[in-house]
Amino acid sequence: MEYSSVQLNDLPDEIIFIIFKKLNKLDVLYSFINVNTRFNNIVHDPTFTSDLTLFNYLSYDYIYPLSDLILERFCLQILPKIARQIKWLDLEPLSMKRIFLSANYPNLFRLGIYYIKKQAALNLFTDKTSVMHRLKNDILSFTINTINTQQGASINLDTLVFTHIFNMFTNLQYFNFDPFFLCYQRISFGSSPPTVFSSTLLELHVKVMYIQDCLYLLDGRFINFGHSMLI
Amino acid sequence: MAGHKIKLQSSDGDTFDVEVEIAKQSATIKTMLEDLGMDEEEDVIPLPNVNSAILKKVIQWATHHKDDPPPPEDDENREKNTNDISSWDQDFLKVDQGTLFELILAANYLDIKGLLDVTCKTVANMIKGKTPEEIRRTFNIKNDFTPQEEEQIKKENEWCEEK
Repeated sequence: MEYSSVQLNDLPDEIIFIIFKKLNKLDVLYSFINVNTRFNNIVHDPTFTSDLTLFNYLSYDYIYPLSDLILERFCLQILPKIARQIKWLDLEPLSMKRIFLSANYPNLFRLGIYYIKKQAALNLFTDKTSVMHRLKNDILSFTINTINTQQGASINLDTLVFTHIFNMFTNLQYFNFDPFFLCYQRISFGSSPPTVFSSTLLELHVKVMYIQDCLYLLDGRFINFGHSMLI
Repeated sequence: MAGHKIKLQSSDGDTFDVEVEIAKQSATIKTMLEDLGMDEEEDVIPLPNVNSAILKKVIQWATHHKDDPPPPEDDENREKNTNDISSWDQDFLKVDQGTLFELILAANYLDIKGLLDVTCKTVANMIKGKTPEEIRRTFNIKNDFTPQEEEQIKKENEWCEEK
């Protein structure tokens, strides 16, 4: 059989897309940003840039950061180039700050933070210098998965985090405080009603301790509530 | 009809007798047979986009996979897995890059989902983990950025480092 001279760069965009879709988006961006003009244009397509999960995972409860080498390339060369296209980021705490400092994300409206310690989550939403402040009006959809510290203190901490997130993201439409079935995040407001209100929230996922907590959340404080999942 | 054959003609004029059921793994050929009523053994289906060497490989692949179940529909949300290539397919695809890319073009033109899937996965595996420079070397891609663009890339990096 004679050798063929067809090369990767000869394939039509349609087929390049089929090949790239066999890969994770991070693999595509890592390997093809700055290869040449044509591939730069292809990988800037929203298919590869609009939503990114910037961590590795083996399962929902086993998440680990990108390697230093890959994170370095993303923060220095890739994210600044595609930041304008990014609408949705899923992050883990160890690399989150660096990712936010590497670029501005003017179109980011959906954010997920996974595997963050409860106290670190609280600091994120109470510290005035936190990167979250830059996003307070932009985020419409937010998901958070915290990890346990001490069993006894976690409900109070979870409730505080829940409340501060509402206070931080003033335009929230979708809030998932219960992303995984096995995730231990549960809130309770005790005997006094919560201080959270929203005229924008449409969907809320949260686990509550008592039926009274559920009634607080359904007492009209979320005036545009479409539907909710309360467990 | 079991064993019933049709003729497929490559772009360079070679003709191959192929069992209808094997040829029908190509949605393109299946449609031609059904829409044009081409079911006589004398009928020749011209395939102007596939040369003889590649058509021979495609027929070899389709013959080996003739009893496979239909491939699943594409699902964007499915976990990306490029490590599920059978050992037969891996051996079959130990070819030079040009042949691999021509097989992809043929699979796309003939609309053979299984072959397109396995050839694209093979290329994806060649890409995984490579830096842009390694990609250029592996796939013989020319860096066509202008000096100004190169300078801009450097500046962006410096800006990031300063932050």
